[in-house]
Amino acid sequence: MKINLTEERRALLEGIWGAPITEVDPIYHEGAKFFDEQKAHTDIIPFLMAQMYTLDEMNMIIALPGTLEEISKKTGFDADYIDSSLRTLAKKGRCMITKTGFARVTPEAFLYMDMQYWAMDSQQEVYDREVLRIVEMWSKTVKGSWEMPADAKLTQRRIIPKWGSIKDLPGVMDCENMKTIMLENQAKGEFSCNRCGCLTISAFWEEGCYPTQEQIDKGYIDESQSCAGGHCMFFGPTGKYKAKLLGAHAPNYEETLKKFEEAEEGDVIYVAMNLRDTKNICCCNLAYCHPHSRKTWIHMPSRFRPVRDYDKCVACGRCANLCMFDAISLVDGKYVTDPDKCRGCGNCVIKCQNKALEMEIVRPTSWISDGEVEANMNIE
Amino acid sequence: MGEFHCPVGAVGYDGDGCIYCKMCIARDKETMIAASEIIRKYIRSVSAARKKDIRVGKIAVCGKGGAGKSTFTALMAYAFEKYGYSPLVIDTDDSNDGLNTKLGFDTLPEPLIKYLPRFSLTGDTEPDISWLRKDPLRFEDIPQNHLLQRDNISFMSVGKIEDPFQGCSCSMGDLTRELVLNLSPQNKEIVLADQDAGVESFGRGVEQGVDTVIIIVEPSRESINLAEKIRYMSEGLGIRRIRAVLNKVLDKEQNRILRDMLIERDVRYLGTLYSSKDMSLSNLYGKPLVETELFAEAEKITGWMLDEAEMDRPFF
Repeated sequence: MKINLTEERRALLEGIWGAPITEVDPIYHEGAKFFDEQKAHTDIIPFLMAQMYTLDEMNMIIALPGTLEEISKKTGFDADYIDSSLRTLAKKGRCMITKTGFARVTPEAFLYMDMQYWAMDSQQEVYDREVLRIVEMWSKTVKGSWEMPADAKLTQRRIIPKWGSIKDLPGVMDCENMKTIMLENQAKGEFSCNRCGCLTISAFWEEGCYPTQEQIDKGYIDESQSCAGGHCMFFGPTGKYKAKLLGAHAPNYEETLKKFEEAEEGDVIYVAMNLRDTKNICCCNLAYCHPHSRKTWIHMPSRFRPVRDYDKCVACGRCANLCMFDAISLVDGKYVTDPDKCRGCGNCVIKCQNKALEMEIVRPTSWISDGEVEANMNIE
Repeated sequence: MGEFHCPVGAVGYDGDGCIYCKMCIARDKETMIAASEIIRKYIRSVSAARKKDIRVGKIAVCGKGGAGKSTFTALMAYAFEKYGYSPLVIDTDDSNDGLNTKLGFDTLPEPLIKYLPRFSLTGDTEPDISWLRKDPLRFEDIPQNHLLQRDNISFMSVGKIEDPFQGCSCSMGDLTRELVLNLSPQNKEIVLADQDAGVESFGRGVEQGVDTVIIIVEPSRESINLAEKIRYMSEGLGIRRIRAVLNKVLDKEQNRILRDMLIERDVRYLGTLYSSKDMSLSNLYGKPLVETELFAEAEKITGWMLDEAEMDRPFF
């Protein structure tokens, strides 16, 4: 069945794909219908589906969600065959394993799962380089009909200060205490992590290999896969799912402590959802964020702000060099923190050798949203 | 929203933990706004449950003799009142009085020990203590004759040993334990139990029912070591929130040293009350402590405690 494209769009898409866009089996058109409700530019989806799923797989995906028996009844395939096919697809992030059976993933979820899949060490052997081009097609051509206004600010991500900068400060909530978050989730078996997904996928897009020379030069890549250069951390159900079914690394207690120390030491900041019960934390170097996002992300500052003791400060400039937000500058021989630029990440506090910096609380607890999702989405 | 970060931490659309808000697949404003409504509702319900688990309800104030337990208890009661809470202060100390005057009460309420035959004030008649055995025991279940009240602060006393050979205070400890265990503070209510000096109350398990232990530490090695011991024993009772408040600290340098010593001993620091002439005079003359210069500090410390427990308070 022919893919319906305007001349102009066909030229654009073939340019990205690097080959003619061919006809596909009608089954892929049917499979693409699932995405229609999202008002996306769905004209290319059948073609992309054909690249991602074989005919049998597409049949199974259309039958989702359901239990193994239900899928078997709908498609007429043997249950074992379905199970092994869908589990392989799930590993590639193209469908999901649920408590009762299997479920489809959305295009957005696909991008995300795939990116994570790329970033997982355990998956490096099985990945398919062709996927890269598919992901690129998805992200560059399948866009929403409603675009976020250019000046919209998404304040849905907040910065968690480095634990070392607030560890003996009173008035710190549990959701701001990185050590508590990591160790408590680890104890529940709901913590898994992998190297930074943004960093990985950017590397493949730009250079076709990971890591790129630039990333190595800038010190983002560490052979030991430590948390110092950027890391994805997942807690709660996601953490569990990734560890159990996708083979993501689920650190034990000692490893968790080690990862925590690496992250504390590294030139990264912690970024989480602006909610108190956070399930995903980026140990982020801010260099490659959201490679296929169409949105500008604003990281909300933490509730803390460093105060400088000028009796102890020797103006060595170390803090100004490592500040990721260029908030520290030299004024009349003294280093001064710009309160508007400072995001309270705590890096300068823990890296100061003379302990000249100390955190203080400058915002109420209500600063961290407790369910006010829409207010923080700032959709207007 | 989108690709990554599911606000409720689900695996993906239709995956583990999904609440079907459709935020992740939203392509237009209407869907997003509808989705945020669903998320808000869900998060509110989850966070209400979480807050209930971590809230400050019953606080035990412990520490070495003379460290300033009663003083800080009184200051904290004033601070809680200022933040819109109704504190119930229980004086469980069996020897020292004075907490009532620090709170601005001239008289003492009828002590609980009258229920014990040895300390009985009423003679041989069997007293009715069924209210004490109630579980949950609400503030309003406490008989009025045991309470002193002003504005939102309530005060009750377990009693003091007044005469020689009256017996040991074990039985009083039992009363206190039962009271603290059964009391169940509601929404804006807080129980503040001023404990005996040292660790004897821990030996009796009086702290069993509390959720927060505040250790008052004065600048002495014994006091710091006792703080570590109290921390260890409190953990043994399953209490999660254990904090130290430094009292009678001379200057910032001493404060820094004491804080480092606490960190070394794995005791979390909550705040400092510096040495104050004003305060010691107020205590000497038996004046209420609300007008002293240290009240602002105590207010901050109480505020931080509420913050850690994610409880509402006005921010100054």
